Amino acid sequence: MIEVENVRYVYPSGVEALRGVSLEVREGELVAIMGENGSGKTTLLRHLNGLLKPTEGRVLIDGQDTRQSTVAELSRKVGIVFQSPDAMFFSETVYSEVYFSLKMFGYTDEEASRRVEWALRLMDLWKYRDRSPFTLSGGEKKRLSIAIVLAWQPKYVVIDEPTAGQDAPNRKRLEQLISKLRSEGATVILSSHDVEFIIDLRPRVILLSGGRIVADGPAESILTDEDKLERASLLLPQIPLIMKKLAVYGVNPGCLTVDEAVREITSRLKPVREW
Amino acid sequence: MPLIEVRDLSFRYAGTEDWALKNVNLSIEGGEFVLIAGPTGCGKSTLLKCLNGLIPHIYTGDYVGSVRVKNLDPASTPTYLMSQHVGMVLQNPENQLFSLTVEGDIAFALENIGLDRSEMVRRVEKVLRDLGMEEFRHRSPYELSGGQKQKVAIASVLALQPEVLLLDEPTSSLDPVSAKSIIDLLAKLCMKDGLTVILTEHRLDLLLQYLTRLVVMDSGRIIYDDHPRKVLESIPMEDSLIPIPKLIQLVRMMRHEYGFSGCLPLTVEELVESLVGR
Amino acid sequence: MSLKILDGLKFKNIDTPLHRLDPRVKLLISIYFFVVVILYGSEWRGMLTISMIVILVEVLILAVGRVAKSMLNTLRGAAPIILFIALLQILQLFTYTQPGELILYRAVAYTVRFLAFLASFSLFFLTTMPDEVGSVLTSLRVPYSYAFAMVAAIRFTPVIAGEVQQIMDAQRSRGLEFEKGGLIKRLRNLTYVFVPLIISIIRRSYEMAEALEIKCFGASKKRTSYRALRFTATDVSIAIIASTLFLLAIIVHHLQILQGLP
Repeated sequence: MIEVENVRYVYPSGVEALRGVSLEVREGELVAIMGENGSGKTTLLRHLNGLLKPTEGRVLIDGQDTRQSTVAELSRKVGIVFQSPDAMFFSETVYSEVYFSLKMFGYTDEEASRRVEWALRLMDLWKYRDRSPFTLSGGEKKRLSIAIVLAWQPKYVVIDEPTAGQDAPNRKRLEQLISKLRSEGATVILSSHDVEFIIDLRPRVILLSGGRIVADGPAESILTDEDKLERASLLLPQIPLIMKKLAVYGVNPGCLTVDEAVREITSRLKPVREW
Repeated sequence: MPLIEVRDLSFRYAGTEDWALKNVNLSIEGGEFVLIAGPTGCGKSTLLKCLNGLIPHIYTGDYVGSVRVKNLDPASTPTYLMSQHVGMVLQNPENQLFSLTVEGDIAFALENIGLDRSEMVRRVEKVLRDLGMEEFRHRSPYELSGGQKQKVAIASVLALQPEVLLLDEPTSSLDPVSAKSIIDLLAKLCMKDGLTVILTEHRLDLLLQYLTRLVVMDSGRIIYDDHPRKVLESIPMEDSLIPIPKLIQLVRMMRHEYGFSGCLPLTVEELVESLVGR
Repeated sequence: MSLKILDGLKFKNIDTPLHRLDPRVKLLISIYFFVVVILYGSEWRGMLTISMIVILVEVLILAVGRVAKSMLNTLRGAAPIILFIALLQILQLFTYTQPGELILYRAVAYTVRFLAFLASFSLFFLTTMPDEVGSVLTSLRVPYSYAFAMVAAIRFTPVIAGEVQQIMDAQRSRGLEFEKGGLIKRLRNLTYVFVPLIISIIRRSYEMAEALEIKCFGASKKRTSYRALRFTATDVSIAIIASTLFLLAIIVHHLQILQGLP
């Protein structure tokens, strides 16, 4: 379990990025932390593996206080995939890029090789294993940065803005990957402002604004609440928006996906029967 | 006569084997709002760069076919001349802002072409006013938010008063509210001032209501090129070239499974109207 | 990486009479201070006195600009360099045959003089907007591309610094520990920051080159300027006062030489 207890964080420059944030993430959960750029999302993520230590309050990873551990120790359990993959590549091949972290974490050559192959195949990058990571396209680099983290199979997988700048095929792949991770028991935490992507995953949603949590609950209630979303500078996703406008005609505004909406509209909307 | 005419254009970057553009034909009228979409590597950025001369002046390679913008040929016109008719805003605002103040950035290109000071001041004032950025004029680009930086990048290019504005994934790194304000701004400039806007983006949701043209590319070729309503009618639902907005998915599914006969809506309001009538 | 020494050279955006002074006048004053300090460098007593006077005057001037504290931070941040200079002087104890006392006094004088050097240019950098620095350089007939390179360097330094931080964070999250290990290991670990950084700087420069091309960089030989540097009556009077004092300082120095003071 990840426990964030009343964390306050002030950057050396004086900016107060987190103003008393408390939350718990249980094993196996799928959580989406959402908010505008500057809301404190990235700062919060950086507390999860000890890159930042709270100015006040504390963060416990399975009971371990992050202030008493190194980033390397915590990263073993909490794997963070950062937004810009370019910020970490340095190897000659895709293979060695993944292999490197595994050796850092102390795996034997044999075990490391096994994991590299597993991770690269999972992210559909095995065919590029001998290529230089710098020759990959944007989407492939993103997949590589995820493969690197998945290789050591951290208990908690944290992904910062998974869909930023990603094209349609990659968005589909990411959706499938997250479902797969969940089915294998991993705890997945996403930081995103892509409401359309998140809504299809039906996660628990935490809204962050100005360094504070303004909402924390299931997608069904948070992603349909225009006021709450507005406080976090997010727009209502299309399906809830449509259902909200049709609510006055008798439909249930709580639908999240296209399928649900179609069924609800065609069964409840009176004028529809007149087609 | 169309403002922009691309004929049988093919291009291959120097030192690569695959052709980035394969026989592209495109015709754009003045005042249009065009989205060029498609998966990564489909050639959309390459196409944009052919319109303002970055290809072939900066990016060399095998160039076949012709491009005409207004009456200029980007391949044979120096880039500083092209930039005064076809402005371009790149993806990452950070690397396009060179000055230490917003007004300095807006004036930067004007200083470079040797414009005299009174005209420069006039243009800088106008752009600041049009984009609602007067209070930012003395701020440093480094301390601005992503959305504000992007606005400054747009302002600095508009100062050259081009007729066409190209934007390469301008909202890629922005949150929804900032993205919406940039897109609304572009729509305003297009509709009010007649600016021809051509942009590449992955997401259509916020753009759909403003587009006059949707161009979808794949592997260097144009696959669809028409009014967005027509393209979204014909594009298969399982096609993963572009993310199909949920709005469209909804209506097409209702048609397919329930015989709904309304036309494709481009906004939520249109959908509601077609469902409940007036 | 907090480099306090840079504090006195970073522009602070406040509105004071000092800030409003034409940057060329400020550069002139800084140069005057610098020259005066060098001028009195022949023997330790003069060196020490003049250096301390210069520092004091600078502090007073910068107090007008409300930036005196930053300058003092720089002086404090220069501690390691001062120690180094002092050490160099003291090492002479083992090579020269001059009296030990003299060496010590000279060590102090040299270090204080160094501080005076730092202080003299603080005036210019603390109160001049970075792109005004560019304007000053062009008005001194420095070719535009050099002035631009300098302003761009100032502009992008915080960006690159942020990037280094990002890279280190990403590598730490992969199990890399920068704080552990012997010298060899630590140097090795730095390559894991260096390579991505160099790549990112190269990529950034390509994008910047594109952007410069789009903004017609180099289009006209006759580049005009949005920000016009114009002398006001205040600027001229301050310049005259400063020049007079400078001339006086030179005269006093010469007179002393004539009177053969030790």
